This record gives sequence, C-alpha cells and structure tokens, in this order.
Amino acid sequence: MTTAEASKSGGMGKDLVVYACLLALAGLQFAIAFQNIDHIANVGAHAGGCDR
Amino acid sequence: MSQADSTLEGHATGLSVGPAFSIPTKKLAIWLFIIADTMTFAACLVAYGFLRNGSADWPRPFHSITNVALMTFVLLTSSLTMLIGLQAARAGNKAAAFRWTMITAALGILFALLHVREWMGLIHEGMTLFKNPWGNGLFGASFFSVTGLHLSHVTGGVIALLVVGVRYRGGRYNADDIEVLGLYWHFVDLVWMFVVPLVYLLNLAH
Repeated sequence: MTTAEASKSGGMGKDLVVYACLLALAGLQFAIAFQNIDHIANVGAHAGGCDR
Repeated sequence: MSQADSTLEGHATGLSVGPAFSIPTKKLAIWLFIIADTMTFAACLVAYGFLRNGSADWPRPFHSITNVALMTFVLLTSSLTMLIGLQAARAGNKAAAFRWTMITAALGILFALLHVREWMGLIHEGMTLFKNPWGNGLFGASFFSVTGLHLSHVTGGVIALLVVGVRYRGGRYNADDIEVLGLYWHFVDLVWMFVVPLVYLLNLAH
C-alpha cells in the first residue's frame, strides 16, 4: 500500500490526532513560558532589566 | 555498445525504462529543497543561540505571549486545512480542494499580518537592526533575520498556495502538486515550532 493509499484509507482521524498533539505540545511550551514570566522579571531586575 | 544504443534497443524491443527514483520527481525536488532549507534555518538558529549565550545583556523585550500564541495557533491550523485540502484533492473533490487551499492561504496571510504587527510594535518601541533600548544591539539583527527568513517562507508559500490552487481548479495541476505544496507548508510550520521557543519564549519579560 502506498503512502497515498494508506492516507486515503485512514481518513482524517490520524491527521486530527497529530494536529491535537502538536497543539498540546505548543500549549505546553506556552504554559511553561507563562509560568516563568515572573521568575524572568525578578532575575532581570537584578541584572538591570535584562539577564542571560 | 553505447548507452544510447542500449536505450534505442530497449525501445525497439518494447522494453520501458522506469523512472530514476521511486518517488515522483516533483516530490523528490521538494524534499531536496526542504533538506537544504533545514540547513539554512539550522545555521541561523545556531548562530542566534551563540549570540544569545555569548551576550551578557541579551534583551528580553516580549511582554506577552498572546500574539505569538495566536500566530502559532493560526499556523498549526493552516497545516490542518492544508491536509483537508489534500484529502479532498485525492478524493477528486476539486471544489473542496480549492476551497481548503484558499483557506490555508488566508490563514497564512493572517499569520503574516500578525507577524508584521508584532514587528511594527517592536520598531515603535525603538528596536532597529543594530540598536534597541533594552540591551545588546545585535538582538534586532538576529531577531529580524530569523523571523524575517521565516516570514519570507510564509509569504512565498502563500503565493504558491494561490497559484497552485487556481491552476488546480483550472485543471493544469493535480493532487500531486497539492501534495508537494503541502510538504513545503508543513515544513514552514515545523520551522516555526523551533523559532518560537528560541526567539520568543526564552526572551519573555514584564
């Protein structure tokens, strides 16, 4: 079975799962970043507004 | 016997010579392009990482993740609409394939507009290619280079989506062309998933 045929038979289900996983991973990245905003700001305050 | 003679003989005896590769030439070409472009983006992101880690006063100018989160959502969703368009094209539903390809292009345009809005905001705050109010002046050069390279890919992709979509509807292109374009579009989407954490999320501040 070729890739195209496999994709046809699988429908959109697999694609939707991959899309949901990518959204979840991206959401996780943003959630972690959002949690660390305060921490970054505090560290930045000690380093004159910026830090590394 | 020369190769030309051998080929002629093959034709004369009814033998057919198959394609040089097991995948269509267009698909091979786009994969080669993607591999080459991966190297380009990798070089840019590695250079960005070196600059960031080597600078004591690397700026953290991003006050919010709302805009970049929206941009990411739009681009990820555009990959899904691209897939729906490809499914429709493979099923022979020309109208649906065209419609979803145009929706993908519209999402790409929306992403580009959000991107330009963000650039204008940073420029308005005083950021240029070689200076900014927050710290190391190279931040602007590296930020605009990396995000600009990606934005140029999105812009090129949108133009390609419009051209291929219209020509597909007109019968000049087929589902294979939609698939090739889809590979490129997913690549652009994937690159963004690397750009976001490195360029945006690591540079958040209040």
